[in-house]
Amino acid sequence: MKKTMFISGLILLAFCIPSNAQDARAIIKKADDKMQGEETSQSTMTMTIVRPSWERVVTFKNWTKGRDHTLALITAPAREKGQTFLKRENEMWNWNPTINRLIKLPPSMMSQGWMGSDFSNDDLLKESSIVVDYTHSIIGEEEIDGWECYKIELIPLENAAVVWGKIFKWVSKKEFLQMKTEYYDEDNYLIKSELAYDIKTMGGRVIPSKYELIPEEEEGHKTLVQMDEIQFNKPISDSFFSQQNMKKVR
Amino acid sequence: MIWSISWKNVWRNKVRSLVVIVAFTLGIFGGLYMVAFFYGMAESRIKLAIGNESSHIQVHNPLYLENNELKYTIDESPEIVAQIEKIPQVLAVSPRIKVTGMANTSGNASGVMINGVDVEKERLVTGISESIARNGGSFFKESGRKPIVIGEKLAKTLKLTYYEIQDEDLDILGERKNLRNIIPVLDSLKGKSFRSESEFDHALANLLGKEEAEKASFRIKQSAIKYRLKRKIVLSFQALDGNIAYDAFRVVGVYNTGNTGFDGLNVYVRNTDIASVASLMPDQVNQIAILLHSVEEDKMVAEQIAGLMPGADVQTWDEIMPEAAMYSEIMDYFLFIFLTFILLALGFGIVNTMLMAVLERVKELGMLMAVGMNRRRVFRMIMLETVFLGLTGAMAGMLLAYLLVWWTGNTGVDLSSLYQEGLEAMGIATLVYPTIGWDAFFQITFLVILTGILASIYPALKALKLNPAEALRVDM
Repeated sequence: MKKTMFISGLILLAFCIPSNAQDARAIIKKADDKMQGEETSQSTMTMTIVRPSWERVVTFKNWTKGRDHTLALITAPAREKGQTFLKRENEMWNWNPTINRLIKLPPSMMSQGWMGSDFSNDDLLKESSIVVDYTHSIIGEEEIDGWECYKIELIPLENAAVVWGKIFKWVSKKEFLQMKTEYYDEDNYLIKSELAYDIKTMGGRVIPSKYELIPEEEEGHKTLVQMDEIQFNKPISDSFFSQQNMKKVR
Repeated sequence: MIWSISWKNVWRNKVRSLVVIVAFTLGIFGGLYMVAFFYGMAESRIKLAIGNESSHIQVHNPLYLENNELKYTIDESPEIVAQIEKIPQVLAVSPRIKVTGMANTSGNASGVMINGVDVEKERLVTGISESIARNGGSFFKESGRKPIVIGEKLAKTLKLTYYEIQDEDLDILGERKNLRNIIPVLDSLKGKSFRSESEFDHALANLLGKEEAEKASFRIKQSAIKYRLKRKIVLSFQALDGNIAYDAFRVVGVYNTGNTGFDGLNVYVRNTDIASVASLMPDQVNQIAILLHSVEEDKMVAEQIAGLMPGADVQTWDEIMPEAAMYSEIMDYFLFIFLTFILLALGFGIVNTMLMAVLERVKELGMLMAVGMNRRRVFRMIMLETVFLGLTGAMAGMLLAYLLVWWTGNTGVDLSSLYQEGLEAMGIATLVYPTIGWDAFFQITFLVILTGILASIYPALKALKLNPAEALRVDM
């Protein structure tokens, strides 16, 4: 009797582990789709770059279509107004009206911060995917800002082109929002955290309206992005995301 | 006759002559040794640059030189490499895939030159495999999946270093006399690991006091630095199809050539690993580097290779690095200009001395002229006296300089305690072996004789203007 219970317990366990992994993966997939899976979006954002001795505010409009097409137009400060960035698949261009130049961002610029922020160009068009390049497991449940969350551990696959040693993500049980993410290096040092808060209904969706990016090893550095306005699934044609349009878009 | 009179005249007033001779000795010695020292530096830079960076000859697709892009390749490289290896003057050949890209770690990112090499061939051509840092792993000795060897400078940039003092480091530091007294103090840091240079600096300053730490920190850091081997580096670059390719590599080795500019840029991976990611054919490479038995044969072999490979661009080291080749040429001019200034200054000293010698010997010169020594002989006598004076000093100076160059040329002059950081940034080794060619000695002898002749004109003219009848009656 005891033995059968033990065996059935083992069998149950054996079923549980993959199903847990499957769950974790499904949760991450849903959370990822929530962030990037919309047909199109059109938004206005304010980015605040905080440094120990200064602060800087950049506002921009952002159009996206699927995962592969993004166009951003800087609207303030005046010095950078009119600059546009176009991302198509894994290539990125920059149009600068003051010098009248369109450049394709070379690999050497990918690690630089976008508009001087803590987001690197690479972050914006990275190929690695939180769904495909990692193994996922649920390691706990925690409450963040009043939202019940799954705490999920992501370990990169051995040969994935991922620099992190591991990632923790807190994904809310309802709505599958990525409330918090922590990036660790291979020695288990916390390198970078992302926080999402101020959950609101915008454009008919429940989404966080504020993001914060904190590079943990640099004291007094962070970048705040606030979503001022967003609309979903208003049709945008593919030709909108073109080099010609980069120079025209307002 | 005139010669021996002149030589005797030099030694009539020993103190005065010796003053000038010593001035010449020191001037020539200083100038010569200085130039020998710079020659030594230039030579070491060239040797390092050829040994680690350029090799003697490089072959590229001509388009690659205009635009360092992956797609400009030399095809069918194995056959070509085999042909070049058959040339008797060639010591070793290394075909490389070269592409610029980005190296990313969780800590940072940096632009790099990715060198895809055939490990065994590369080992024979460049000194990178022998420049592996202490505790820095090896040059592809451990084979794992996708290994990468990077420079120490890049390891620092990518935050793949940490600082930890171990017993072995204390032993190494203890070999330096000026650091011996702080070893017991450092003992308390043993086994503690510091993630960044600034944290370690801070700990050192707390422990040793600010001034002491500043003096010793460079040495301490040099031996306390450790590398995070086996860590992942993600390389990204534009592949042949135009897309950006990403791939993960693991650090197996960290090298230090002593040229931080080079070390911060060049990473080495196996050609097979990079070719597949870059979608290159296995026989396509961007560069073939060739090392010869001796540097003198470079032009001849280059022509031979150009004959083997029509359409390819064959460059010798002085074309690849004109700035390094320029060093040694500039030194020749430097020697010339430097000595001209020294001799000019010494020349005025000699004019003064000879003028004194002539004016105090008015009576004697009058006598010589009165007994029938013609003006030309008088002129020659004074001129020879001047030249002897200078040449004696110059000979002594050259002898001293030769001895010191010979001695330090064998032992080397260690600059590391003074300027290691700065010199490494310039790509110059910190142990300098002064050296100088024989032609420099001939040049100097010639210049000294010229100075003597020029300096004697004014005093000799003074002597010629003497009227024998009047000169004889001068009361001295």
